[in-house]
Amino acid sequence: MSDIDKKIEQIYISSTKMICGLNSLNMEENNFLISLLDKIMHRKADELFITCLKKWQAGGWRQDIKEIIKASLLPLDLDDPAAVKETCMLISDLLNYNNDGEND
Amino acid sequence: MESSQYNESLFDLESERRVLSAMLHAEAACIEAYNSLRAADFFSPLHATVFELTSSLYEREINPTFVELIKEGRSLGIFTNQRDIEELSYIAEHYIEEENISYWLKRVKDKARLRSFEVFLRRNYQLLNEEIEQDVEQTLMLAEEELTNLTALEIDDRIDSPADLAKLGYDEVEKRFLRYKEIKELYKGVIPLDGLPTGFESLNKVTLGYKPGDLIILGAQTGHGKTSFALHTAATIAVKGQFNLLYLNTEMSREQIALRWGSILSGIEHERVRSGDINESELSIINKAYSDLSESGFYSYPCPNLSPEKTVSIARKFKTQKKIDMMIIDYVGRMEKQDPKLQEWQILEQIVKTQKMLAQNLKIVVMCLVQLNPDGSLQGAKRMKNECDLMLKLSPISKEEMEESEEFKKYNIMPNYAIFIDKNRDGQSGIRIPINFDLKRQIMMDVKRVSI
Repeated sequence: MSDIDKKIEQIYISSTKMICGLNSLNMEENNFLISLLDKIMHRKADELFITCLKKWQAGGWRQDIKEIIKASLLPLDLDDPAAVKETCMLISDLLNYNNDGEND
Repeated sequence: MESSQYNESLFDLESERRVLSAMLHAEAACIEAYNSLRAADFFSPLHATVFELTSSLYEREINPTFVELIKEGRSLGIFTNQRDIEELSYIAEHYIEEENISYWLKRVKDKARLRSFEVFLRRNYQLLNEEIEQDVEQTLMLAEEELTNLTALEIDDRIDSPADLAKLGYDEVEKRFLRYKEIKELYKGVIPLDGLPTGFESLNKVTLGYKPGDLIILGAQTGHGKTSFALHTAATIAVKGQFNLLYLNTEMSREQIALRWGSILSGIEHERVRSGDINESELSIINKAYSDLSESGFYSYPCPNLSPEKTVSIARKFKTQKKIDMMIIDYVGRMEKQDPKLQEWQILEQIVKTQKMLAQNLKIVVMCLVQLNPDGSLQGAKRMKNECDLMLKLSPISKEEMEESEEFKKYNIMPNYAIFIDKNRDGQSGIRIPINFDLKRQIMMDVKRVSI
């Protein structure tokens, strides 16, 4: 294992430990976050999905939209590419809808 | 179990952590640990749980990463407190290089054996204190037996007493007697096999099938049908029989193997399948053939740089995850040589020895394809023959023999190839079985005697 890989591995382990230690999260939220971390660290995350999440995380969205997105993310199986793609489309639609709503 | 109760020489938590860490980081280490340890070999109950969960993930083909391990544990209601997560993080952080896994495995195993020995000593000491009047001879005999088992079991060895052997022998004969009776009454003389079907009725009769633990060597000259024989065997076992089979090929590409199947299972000439010179209805026949393949137990692993060590690790992986019943190596002559100083026959001997051990340890059938010299002899033949359970040689029947032989005219289809049984550990050898090999379709088939 190269030095860089070792560093990445340490970040992966520390981040997992930190997420598991967050008492404010319930089990479902916890599992989603560590699964996402696992995918990112092992370079298996869908790029489009990550772009969607980043856009969502940039903020400025309506509360109801945020809650729908969160509710659709939590049960998502990140190993199922079709489900990930579908969720990506849903998030994009919701965020666009939010923008359109604001423009109106 | 409190570690403070134990002498420190009886456990080694650091080695346990390193083995588990290696399992989380490298597949090869995971296979090694899975095959040589049990949960009970770990002193720490948490480590035993981690081992069980990691093994279970691996069995289900889920890459056992740190996160997957936590998720699996949590779904079962464990690893819910921060102390467990701390310990898991510590394990994951203490990574070892996978080539060092044997060293750490041995340390864990040795400590587990010492603990068993300690339990043995404690119990016998207690026995001495409790029983004042005792049969000394019997006490010592029992202790000796237990101690012997403690060491003998570890080397996976077994010595049969005369009574064990006699019982085993009688049970086997009785089983066969009852089966023979049943066959006569129910199946009108068709003999059920002890192992996997060979794909040829005559070969089934002589061998009673390929049995778990068997090493089969099939020799043929270049271009004389080694791969066709292997795929005919695979079609019988994995497609028709629905058993799981792993096929390692050192020469052919994925596309070449896939195309061969199209021809074998559809019965359409290979050359036409390869060139695409087929009509619509043949395309739909081929489609049906591939649908049969897709539902079969055939797993293919094209591997041009195969070495004996690699076959061991691949076979273990597929035995764990796919529960394979058989592995075919096509062919051993192309395996990579670890030591260039070794002679060809020494390498072949080393390969077949490894494969025989593998067949026995994993309780699967291993078939190795080897190349015969132009004169029909085999390099290192004597040593190979010693190791294998069944040695077959496949060769074409000469044109002259086909024309002159009155015998061959008595068959429903003219035989053009023959399988010679050079060695058969469980039955008759020196037998030549005529078959028909349709070269255009790459199909081998039985020939039946129709007249006397």
